[in-house]
Amino acid sequence: MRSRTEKTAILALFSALALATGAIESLFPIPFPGVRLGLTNVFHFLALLIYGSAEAVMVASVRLFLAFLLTGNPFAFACSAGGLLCSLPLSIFLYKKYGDDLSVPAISVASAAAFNAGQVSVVVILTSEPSILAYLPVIMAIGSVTGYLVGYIAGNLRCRIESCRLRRSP
Amino acid sequence: MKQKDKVLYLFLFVIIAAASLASGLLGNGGGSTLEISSDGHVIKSLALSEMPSGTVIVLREGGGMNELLVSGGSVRMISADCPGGDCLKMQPLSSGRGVIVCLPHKLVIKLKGDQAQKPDGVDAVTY
Amino acid sequence: MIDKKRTRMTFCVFFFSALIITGLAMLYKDAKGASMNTRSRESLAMDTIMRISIHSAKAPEELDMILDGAFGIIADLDGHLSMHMTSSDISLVNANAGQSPVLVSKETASAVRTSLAIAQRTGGAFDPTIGPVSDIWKTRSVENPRGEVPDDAEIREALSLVGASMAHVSADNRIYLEKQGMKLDLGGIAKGYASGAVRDFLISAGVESALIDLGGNVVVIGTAPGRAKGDPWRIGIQHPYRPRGEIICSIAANGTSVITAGVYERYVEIGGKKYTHIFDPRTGHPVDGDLISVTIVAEDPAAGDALSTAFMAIGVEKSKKLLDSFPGVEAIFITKGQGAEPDVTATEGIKGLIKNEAKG
Repeated sequence: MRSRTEKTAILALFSALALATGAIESLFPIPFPGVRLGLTNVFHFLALLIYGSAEAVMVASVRLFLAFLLTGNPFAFACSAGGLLCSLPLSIFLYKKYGDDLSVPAISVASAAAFNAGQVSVVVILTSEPSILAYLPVIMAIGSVTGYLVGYIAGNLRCRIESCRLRRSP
Repeated sequence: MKQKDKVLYLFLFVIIAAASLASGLLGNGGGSTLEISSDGHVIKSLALSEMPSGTVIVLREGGGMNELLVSGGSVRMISADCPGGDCLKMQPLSSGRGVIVCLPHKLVIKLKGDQAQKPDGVDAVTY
Repeated sequence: MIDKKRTRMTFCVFFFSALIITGLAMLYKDAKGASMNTRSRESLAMDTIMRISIHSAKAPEELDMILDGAFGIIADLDGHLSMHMTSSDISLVNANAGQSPVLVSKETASAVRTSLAIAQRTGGAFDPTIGPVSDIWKTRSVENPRGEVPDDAEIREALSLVGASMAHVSADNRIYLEKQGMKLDLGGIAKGYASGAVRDFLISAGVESALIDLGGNVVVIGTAPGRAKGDPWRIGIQHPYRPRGEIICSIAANGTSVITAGVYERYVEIGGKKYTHIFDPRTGHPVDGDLISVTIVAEDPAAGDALSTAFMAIGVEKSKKLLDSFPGVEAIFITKGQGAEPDVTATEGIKGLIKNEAKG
């Protein structure tokens, strides 16, 4: 029912939007290496909601690698990769397994927490400074808010995209 | 829908609460001594009070260069020759809290309350 | 719609509780010392290095003012208690010995009262009227380029002018020495007395944590910065055979003073023999025995300072007995050992607080 072309186009659009959001976010001051608003995560999360896990991984990795190519910053890459490595499997697991029991923002909050944990772990490993772990709770608390925001936006966008699609294809 | 949301939030809440208590117990509090470590080793421990406003600390660690500026009791990174320059965007250290991390050069800069202890671990010597 | 609202509500509750917990954790850190400020200052006074380090939640500017006050107290006391300054209380008392009582500051009166009390309680092993003896040794051995030992007649003459019973402090702070030529020398108590005065001042100024090190007379307040509340400070005891700063053992100190008298601190060498600056007021000679240093751990640093000097003259065994009449006072004796390293003996009350150096 859905055309492959449409899917390719939409996923490409998601990746591009994620990249753009990332670029905008990088303009803001950050409290901690790699800690950002996390709005880029809206797009792979959206891919998970609309299409599925494979597509989510695809959008996330395309954004990850393209951002690396564009900025040439291997450390931001390592941080994001560490975060995604923790958060992606968790959000896929929660969505597939508990999708009926958990709301979209809740899943997003959980993945944000996992993302932060992964990210801070990478920083700790790279700097050999375990004391940085002490900042994890604060980062996670902030991450919960942005996580909720991400989930809320992604949930809303899904409704809009799907209703728009319904209207177009009778 | 979604009655299990509460379970998840509660779970996360417990994790964060436990983690913050644990980190509070670790006592990784700030203070007035600027501690700079590279690759996990403390390379410099400087009393903030002894550095006048405008002091620039140049660090050549991890194959690169970073410059810290001390001004009015706060410390921030003003230049770094790393890709990205994330550390430049980090909030200045002030009121004894926070951390500046330069990942490419494996630098961690934070404020510690502890004054530099004597190497043999005693606070003073009676003679 | 209702579900959505409930989800949001749940989230809000979760988020705000997380925020509160994080905030509490932050406050907890603050209470533990996250926003504590440390100020240290060093200065020369009483012929030695005075170091005070204070740690408090107060603003750095306020801490600077407190340090100003503390060093002001030391300077004042130096001005009162010094033997060298001709205008000091002590010099005036000495100049009027055998003639008339001298009105002194209440600090001087109090320091002399404490000294005389300890002189009495130690059977004269510590004596603030030791001045004539230290003078004769100073002029004959230290200041004399030929470096001689004073002869017995000289010492006997000096000793006749030593005796705490011949010094009197009246209730209205007048000090009178009975014989002309008598001389108060508060060298054995001045630093201890000063550190006690500084401690009282810092506590009254609301300083939560401080390290007062007046030339090796160490007094601590509160908990060391960066350590858990209630954890003691660690004070090292100088290794008698090694350079300054190298320690033989250390002791955990909590709100006490740790004060040492040692023969190695100041001495003069005559004919291959070392004569220390610590005199036995009963013999008129520098202390000479197996005892190298005595460290006193006591609430009152003035008493600790005087007792450490007295114990050097008394010797280990008698000192231990004497300690029975000084409740709460503990001592560490360092004596010449059989081998190359000195022996460390501590009284029962502090044995558990001592940590020997592994390298020792």
